[in-house]
Amino acid sequence: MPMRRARVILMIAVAAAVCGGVPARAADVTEVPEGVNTEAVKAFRAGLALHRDKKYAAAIPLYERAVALGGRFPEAFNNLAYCYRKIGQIDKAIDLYRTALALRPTFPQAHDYIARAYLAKGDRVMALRHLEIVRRLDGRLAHCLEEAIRRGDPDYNDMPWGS
Amino acid sequence: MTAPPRVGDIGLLGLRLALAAVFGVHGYLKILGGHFDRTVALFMTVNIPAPEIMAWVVGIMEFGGSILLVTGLWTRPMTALLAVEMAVALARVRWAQGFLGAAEFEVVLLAACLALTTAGAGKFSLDASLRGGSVRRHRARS
Repeated sequence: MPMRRARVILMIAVAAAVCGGVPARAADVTEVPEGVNTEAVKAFRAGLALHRDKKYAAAIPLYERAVALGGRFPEAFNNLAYCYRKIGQIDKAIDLYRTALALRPTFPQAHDYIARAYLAKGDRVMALRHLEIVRRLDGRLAHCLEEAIRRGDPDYNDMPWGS
Repeated sequence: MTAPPRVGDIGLLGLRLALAAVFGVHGYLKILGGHFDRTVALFMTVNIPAPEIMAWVVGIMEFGGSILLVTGLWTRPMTALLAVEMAVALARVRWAQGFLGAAEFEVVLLAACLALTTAGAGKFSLDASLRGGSVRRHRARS
């Protein structure tokens, strides 16, 4: 009986691993990150709500506030960059992604997004460079990014909230 | 007032063991504990040349260094190397992240490494035993 249960659990785990779909990319904050004040997190969450409704321009001032108040808050820089990218301000987005990566160099989503921003600018070399880094950090995310680069389409499979 | 030499040696032993624990765990994680790819990704992000080779070098240096720190063998050169590593980590990664909760850890490790580089391993070490042996041989010859 325990063997059977273990087999069922194993099968569920394998199915979940294979059919996990698009990797979760939301730079969501469920807990207050260390060193980030609660006001910054409040602003971040308010921005996130608008961001999820694809109201990118409206989310920007809230993320700006989160960044200003939060100090070391890579999720806020990453999401702020995402919003700027979506409204077409690619250079500004790249600067902000760089800040997010300076704060957390192994942030897979920021590498994925900055690669897409470079791709939008036509800089395939930098996009591939960040793809190499994403490959080391998150195989499934790398697969999605690789396909976007292959198609030359930065928005391909660019679903930030996994929905 | 200075501490008696014996107490100072106990302090150096404690410092060596503490550093060995920190570097040993981090080195093990880098080369055997599943953090290798993460380390390579970090090195690629901050433009460390030959990131894969450097990840091996740093991992082996930290893990091997921890064993040398426990035994007290080649303490000065080993801690000098680890100090250089910490200086690079500070300059390339941690300084940009601020002091509290980020650079402070590497600053303490750098200071501890430099303390051992300058003071040596102390009496309770293979370095001291080997030095004692060579002094005895030198005296016996002359």
